[in-house]
Amino acid sequence: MSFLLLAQAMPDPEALSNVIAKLDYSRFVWAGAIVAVAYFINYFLQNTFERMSAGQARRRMLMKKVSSFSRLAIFAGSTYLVLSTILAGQETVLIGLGGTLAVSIGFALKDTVSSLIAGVIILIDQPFQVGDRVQFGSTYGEVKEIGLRTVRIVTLDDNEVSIPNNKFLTDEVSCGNSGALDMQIVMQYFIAVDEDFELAKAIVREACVSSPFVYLDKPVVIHVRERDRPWGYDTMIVCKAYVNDVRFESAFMTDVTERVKRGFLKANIKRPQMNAPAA
Amino acid sequence: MISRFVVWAALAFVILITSATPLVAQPVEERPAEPDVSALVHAATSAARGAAWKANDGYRRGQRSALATLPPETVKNTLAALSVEHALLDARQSLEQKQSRQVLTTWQQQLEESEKEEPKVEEVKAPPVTAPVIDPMVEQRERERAAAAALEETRIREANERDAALKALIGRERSIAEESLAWTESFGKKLEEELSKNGAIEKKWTTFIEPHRTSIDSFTQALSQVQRVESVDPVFLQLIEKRRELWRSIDATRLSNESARERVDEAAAQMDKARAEWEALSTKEAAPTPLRTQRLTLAKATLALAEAKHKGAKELELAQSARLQLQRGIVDELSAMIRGLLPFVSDGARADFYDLFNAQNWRDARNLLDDKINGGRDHMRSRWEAASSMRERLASVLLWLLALLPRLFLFVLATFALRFVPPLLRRGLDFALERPLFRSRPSLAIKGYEMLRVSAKPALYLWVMSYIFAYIGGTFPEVMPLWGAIEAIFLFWVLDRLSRTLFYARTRREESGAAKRGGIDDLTKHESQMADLFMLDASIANRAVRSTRLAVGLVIAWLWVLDVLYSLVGYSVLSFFVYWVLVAAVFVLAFWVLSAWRGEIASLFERMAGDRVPSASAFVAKHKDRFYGVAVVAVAAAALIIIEVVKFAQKYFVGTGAFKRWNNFLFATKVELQSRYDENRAALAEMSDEAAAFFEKDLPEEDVPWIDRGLLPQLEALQEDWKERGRQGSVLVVGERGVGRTALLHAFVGKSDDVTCRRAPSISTRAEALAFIGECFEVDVDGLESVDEVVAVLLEEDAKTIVIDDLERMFVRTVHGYDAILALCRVINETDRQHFWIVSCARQAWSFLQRVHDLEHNFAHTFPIRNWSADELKQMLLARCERAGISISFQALGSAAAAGDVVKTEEGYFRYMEEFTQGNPAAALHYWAQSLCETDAEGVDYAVQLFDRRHAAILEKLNDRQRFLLNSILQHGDPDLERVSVAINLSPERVKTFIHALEDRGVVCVSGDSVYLAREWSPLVVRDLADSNLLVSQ
Repeated sequence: MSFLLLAQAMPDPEALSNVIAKLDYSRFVWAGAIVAVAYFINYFLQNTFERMSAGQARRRMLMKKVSSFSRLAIFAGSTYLVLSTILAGQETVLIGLGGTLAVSIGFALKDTVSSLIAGVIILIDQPFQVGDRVQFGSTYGEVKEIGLRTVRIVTLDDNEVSIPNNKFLTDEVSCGNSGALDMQIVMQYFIAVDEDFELAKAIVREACVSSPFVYLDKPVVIHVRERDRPWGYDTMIVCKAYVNDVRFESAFMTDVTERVKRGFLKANIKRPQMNAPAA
Repeated sequence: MISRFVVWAALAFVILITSATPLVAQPVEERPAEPDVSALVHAATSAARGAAWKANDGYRRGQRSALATLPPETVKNTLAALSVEHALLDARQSLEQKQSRQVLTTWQQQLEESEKEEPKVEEVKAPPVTAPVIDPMVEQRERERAAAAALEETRIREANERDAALKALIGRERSIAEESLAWTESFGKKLEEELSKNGAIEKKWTTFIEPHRTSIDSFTQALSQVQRVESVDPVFLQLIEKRRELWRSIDATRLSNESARERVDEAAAQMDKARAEWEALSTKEAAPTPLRTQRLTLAKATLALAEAKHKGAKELELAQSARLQLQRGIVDELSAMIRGLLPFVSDGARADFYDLFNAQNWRDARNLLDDKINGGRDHMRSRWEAASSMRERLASVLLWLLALLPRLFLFVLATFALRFVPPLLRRGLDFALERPLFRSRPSLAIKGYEMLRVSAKPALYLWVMSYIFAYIGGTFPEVMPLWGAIEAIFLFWVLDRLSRTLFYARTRREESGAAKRGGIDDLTKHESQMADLFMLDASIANRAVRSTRLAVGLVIAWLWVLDVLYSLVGYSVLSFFVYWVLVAAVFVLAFWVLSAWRGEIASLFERMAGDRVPSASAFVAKHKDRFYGVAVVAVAAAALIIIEVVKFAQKYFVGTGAFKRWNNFLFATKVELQSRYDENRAALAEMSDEAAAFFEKDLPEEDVPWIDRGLLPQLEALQEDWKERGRQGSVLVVGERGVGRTALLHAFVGKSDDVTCRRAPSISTRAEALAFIGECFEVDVDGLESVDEVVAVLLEEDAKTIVIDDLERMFVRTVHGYDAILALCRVINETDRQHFWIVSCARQAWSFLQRVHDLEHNFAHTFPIRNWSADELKQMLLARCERAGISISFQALGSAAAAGDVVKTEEGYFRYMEEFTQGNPAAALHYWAQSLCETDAEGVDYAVQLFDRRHAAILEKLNDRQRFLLNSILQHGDPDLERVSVAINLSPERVKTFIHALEDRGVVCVSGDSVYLAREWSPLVVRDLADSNLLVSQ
């Protein structure tokens, strides 16, 4: 592949043979060794960071960020070392080849290169970080990895979705927690319009603040709204609270909903029902 | 907006122009006009000689090769000068300067080699350098031959002429030619004489200096006084004497140089007169007759003679100037040698040298000063002559001035730009005041704004000055030392303004006009009020500003005056005198400052150190106004500074958590390493049940030694306040579990009469709460359903003191699980004037309840109990040992430790325990019991070893539900299975499984239906839950 690219970049056979003659094939062995060492360092570091982030939630976000940057640094460093090993002492060739190969590779793999650059931009600009909850198009989930080519998102139903990095430069992406461990969750509950909304509001609030998943350093807010539905009005109680770890987003909603349902049942608060059509 | 853009565009344009202009203006330096050939030959000769003299000198000293001694720049400059000379000599083919060319070629080769082998410059062998000898007399001979030839030609013309009028004119021309020949011959003699004098002086002083320099290099500090007197002093005195002799010669040379300069002026006047006559004749319109032609020739000959005389006088003057420079150079060399010898001379010789009452010393100092002044004056004169005499450089000079103008215009621009600084800073202030860091410290931010504002003007002007000065200094390097003075003035200006802003009250500055009120560029009235950081009295502020001015002035004078003085007069009695005057000024200043501030320093000393050293404080207060009071105050001020430094170090270094952790880590590592190699490490003690009971948490109250932390009197004071003044009597005691809340309440109960003390029951409904309240007051509340009814009953009761412990048991994290605690808190709030309530709650539970229901306002007083310090833990544990009747030793912690180190080890142990247990005494008791081991030491029952720590890794392996369970236990005290199940919304079966798992690991304990945290795990669990984001911040 590389020779084909080389041939495209430098079609003069004599010049090409000169360049190839200058290449010392023992250097390829060294380059292979560098790649192998880089792979193992990366493997070791990723596992170490994974282990270090396992115990404590607050440390997890930091470790994930460090892990992303370390992967990028290892990739950049090993690429430089490989190129400088293969083309050592041939700086002119390195520059010439670098320029022409960059153009040809750029054309051949423009999407990949664009994703690579976008990956670097995402890491530096940080529209979202590893561990964040993001909504991209119809995909919603936790960012598991910001790779060199793609961003991997684990959805709430545990599917892993890979999205090319360059898509994030052009399309809209929303991030729920921006690097913080906590994240706001909005939950809605509905009761019949003539039910005791104050009691319902108190139940929703106590259900929310009692949940072990709630993050109480930020406020819990309860709103009451009325909705105009085809069958009449109903009362909507909106609870806005922060979950203490984005991983518990779904569990938090489930826990609060269970408590609310129990509370509503105990207080005999009726849910909205479709009225019988007028005769 | 547009006007601002235009202003900034103009500013950018001017800066661009002024940056580019030097390229145009530099012709003054870069494009010299056609030089005066003769002067340049002399200058080149002089420069070449100087360089060769230095090179030769360095070579003879044997320190380095000649090229290595001279900086490459010097060599290059010398080569440049020689290149000029070379070109001139080529132009004058009559001059045969083969030797000079050879030297030039050799130097060129050397330079090339040195550039090629720059890293090995030390190894370059110096060529046998000899000064390039240029003989100006060759030119003189040429002049004489030309004068003789001109005379001969005139004589022939005179002999051949038949017309009487013409013959008379030619005769006059011949007499002028004769005069010219005679003058040329006499001038040649004078020139030869002057040049030989220069050569003789150079030879004489080179011969004198060389041997002395060699001997100076051999002197060391190891010489005894006798050796110094014998070997160093004679050289030193001889150098001083020779310098004086040289000054006399310089005086003579300067006088003759002055008369030579006068002769040049006279010759110039004659030349101008002759030129005027010639120009008058040549411009007169008349027929070109032979008579007129001859008259013109005569005038031209007269002019040529005047020009030759002027040129000759100039050459003589130049030769004398060169001698003057040579002599001054030698004086500098001698002064440097004298300065180098000063550390080696005997004390007597040094004292004589600096003797203030020796008139000769003062004459020497004056001579040094005169030398510098005259040298500077001559230098400036030559600069001026060079600038004024070269008409062809006029354009360059004008260009230089033109380039200077925009730089001067920068002052105007800076003044204009200063209008924009306050609004910009104002925006910065607004931005800062929005940030949490400065929002809490508005005075600091506003003061910072003010200080930036007042320093903006001097800073901007200094920047402009630096720009201008760099330009001027590029052309006139000799003015660069003045930059130090300019900097000093600006520095004083800035610091003076800063001190006034810092110390004077804002209102005073507004009244005096130093600060404006209102407007976009200034502070609002409210901000003005906050701008006073120190709130100093007017007299104190005045003194502070005066002190700052004096101190700054003195520091600047010290730095700058001494620097200039040494560069001007070197080491002499004058610089010595000025130095000691400055030293005395420092003492006077210190005296004045201390004297002015003695009252404040004494009161500050009393405030800060009065408690610790009352006698010293009283001494300072008593003696500060005596004649020696300043010394007392000085000592007190020094002590204050030391106290502040120590406090600062403790706060920001020794007292930081990171430092403590690091210290504890070192301590534990050291002890563990020691014990690893200690074969006789003792086994843990099998303590008797009686002794072990003293380290249990549930020790009977009468056996618990009370450690006074100052909390009990505070509680009693609050009770007294309620009793006597009828104020609200509700106190909430908040502390971590195991920190001693219960012990405090029990101590309070023990000291008071008629107190009802109850532990809160494990309840959650309002009815249960009301029943519990009724039980506390021993009143019947059956049938009462509302809080109001119960409150009404309680208000009818006699005043009582109710103490309720472990309030955290009265709620459960579920819907309607807070009814009990809400009811109790409301009852407390509504009855606390009638009854005195003390309620204790675990810190984590209270933080949670605060966020959920904001209960704190129900209590009149919140009483936080902080965790224990290392000293308090030590006091508590040792008191328990004493109560148990056991003696302990810390010797085992450091087996090879010396007696003094045991104390350090003991302190280290308790610091380590405090950090590991987070100051929780319940956990500390557990670890303490684990630390005691058997010992054979005489008189000691137990030796203290380092305890085995619980490792956080066990907690890190727990799953999220287990953490929720731990959090629930921590918040609810010792809940039963059902309460935990409800709180974390898990089935009781799963909760039971989790509890078993945690019990196996020793993290929790189960007692009947209740489950609680093992005391040794408590600090670690708190830390782990906080790291997992599960705890509410305090």
